[in-house]
Amino acid sequence: MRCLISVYQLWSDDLDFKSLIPDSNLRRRMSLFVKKGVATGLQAILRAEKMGIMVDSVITATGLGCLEDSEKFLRNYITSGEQLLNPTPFIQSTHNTIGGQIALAKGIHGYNLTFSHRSNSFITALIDVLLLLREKESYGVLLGAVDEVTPTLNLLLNRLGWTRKHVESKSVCAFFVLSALDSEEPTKLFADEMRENQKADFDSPRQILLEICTTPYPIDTFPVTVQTANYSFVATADSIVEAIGRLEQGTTGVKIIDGEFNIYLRWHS
Amino acid sequence: MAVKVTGLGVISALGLGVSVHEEALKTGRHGLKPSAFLKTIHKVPVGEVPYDLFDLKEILKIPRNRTLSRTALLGMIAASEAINDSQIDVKRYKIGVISGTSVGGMDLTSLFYKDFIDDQATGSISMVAGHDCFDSTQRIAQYLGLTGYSTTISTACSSAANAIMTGSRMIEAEMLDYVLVGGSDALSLFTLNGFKSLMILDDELCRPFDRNRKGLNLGEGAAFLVLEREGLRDHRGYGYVKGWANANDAYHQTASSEKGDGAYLAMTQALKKADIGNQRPDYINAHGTGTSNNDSSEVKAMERIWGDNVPAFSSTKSFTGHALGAAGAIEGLFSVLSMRNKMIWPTLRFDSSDVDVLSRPEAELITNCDLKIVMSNSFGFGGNCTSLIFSTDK
Repeated sequence: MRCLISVYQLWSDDLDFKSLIPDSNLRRRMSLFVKKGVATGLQAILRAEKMGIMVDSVITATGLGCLEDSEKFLRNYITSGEQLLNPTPFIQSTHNTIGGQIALAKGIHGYNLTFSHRSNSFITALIDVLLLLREKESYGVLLGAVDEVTPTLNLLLNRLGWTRKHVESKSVCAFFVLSALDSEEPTKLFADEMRENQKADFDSPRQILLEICTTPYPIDTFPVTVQTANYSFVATADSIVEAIGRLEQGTTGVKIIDGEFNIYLRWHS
Repeated sequence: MAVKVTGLGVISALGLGVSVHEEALKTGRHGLKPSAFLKTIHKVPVGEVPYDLFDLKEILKIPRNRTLSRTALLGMIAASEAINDSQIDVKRYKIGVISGTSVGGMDLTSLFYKDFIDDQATGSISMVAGHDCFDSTQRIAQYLGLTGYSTTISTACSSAANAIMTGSRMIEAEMLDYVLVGGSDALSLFTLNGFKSLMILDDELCRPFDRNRKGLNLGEGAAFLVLEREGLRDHRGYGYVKGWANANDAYHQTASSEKGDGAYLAMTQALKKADIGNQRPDYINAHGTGTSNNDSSEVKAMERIWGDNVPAFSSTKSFTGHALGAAGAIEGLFSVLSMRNKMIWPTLRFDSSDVDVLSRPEAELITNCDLKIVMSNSFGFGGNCTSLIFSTDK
């Protein structure tokens, strides 16, 4: 199964919450983590739109969800004796908050799913994206990996002895826009609209071809191998981010080994 | 490629096992009452599984001192029943596990945090090690020796429905041959207080679709289905997962749009996927939480599709309460049971519909109806809407 990566966007401090999330009521209720996730996802969508790629589906991966809001709500009902609670942290605590808020902000009514399977959250979400594109159920999918590492999480991981045995759990906020290859044009929803759009003058995308398979590829095309480091409590997109970095530095192709899956990336010509 | 249902397992406020649930649904016995095990100040009925943690461990024949969340235990019990029922040899086949849960091991985290809040060096640390959604899925796979592809979906109240959808899609795509799909969620102070703070808990027994409904009753439980590609082995099966769709309401983080845009999209696209022409479902197991907003929006979405000719529908949350991340699997299983028993399950305590809608849910048990196509709806926070279609024929 394969797809094209047109955009990858990491959280960075120069992303402006106010311009990306103009609805001040929406923005005010969000924790910093949710705001970062939503802003990064929306920025990825904006960049895809400039390339003429319309995002109609949103898939997110998170190992632990919105920890800050979860902890706030836990603390609130325990210390208040279950009384007079503000519902906002509860509302924002669900694992699909960021995916849902992005759909809400952009009016995306299509497929929307959140995977939460510890360090396999991202790879299983990626497999779902590839399946969705193969089913021709989507033109462009926003795929995000989001997790926040809080002081409490660090403390608990230390107490569990986890930090000694495993890789460090790091906060992650990485988004990608993935679409099908031209020859695998989608059949539904936005296909006509897309054909219209393609006549317009868009930034010509420099895209990466991603393929997941179990059979090995010729080694000379994919000289670099990235091994996905596990095992962490959080979703991680580190290996894909690293692979894209290597391609940008001039490598012809990168192979990622993620458990039983081999992922191959190279520039799409 | 037909997706066949060959195993069923369930535990909820109604008790343990498929036959106990069939009996309850037929006789109108609900499981809603004040909580016995969850210690809360709120005097509201809940759909609590009638076993404490020790009972659950005893059912599973595992040591009493092992620390496992209620979500994991409930999941392991329902999954065991489903795997046994399917008569599948777990040693011979690679069986996948796709499960849905909303709050994972939050029942134990909540207890842990009570001690931790005063002194960060205290609290039994093993109680929080199973906090994440992955934990219950992994425990189920380990307990049953399932070694295939595994993942967990967490989309609030539609989690388990999305797990059933994802498993079905992977079988259709021939990525999997056999997969255990469903979900598990335990009652916790976290969710109980969450829904209380949103002021959508009914202080009395919930009345889905009724004009005077006041909100939902929270429930808990787990249900799993074994799905497999048609033709792999000789098994009569219970029917097929025929259609599915996932759409987003894109309206509000917790509330549904007035006309149910997301619900409308999910239902219409699931019908299209099922490829049944102009046939209507014979029965819809609605999301029907009992909140003013959900039930009104859901009926309006159904009327947008079928006008004054909406198929028979009901809410079995009037029996079980709203089991959040597990609800989609419990109700998917009830949909399959309705086909098997040729019965439409009633909506308990329903009296009269909203003034601005034409349709009314079934309030009495209907027997001897030949149900060939049954739809199950699950909607959740974040605008997540999923519809599943089960059928007796391929």
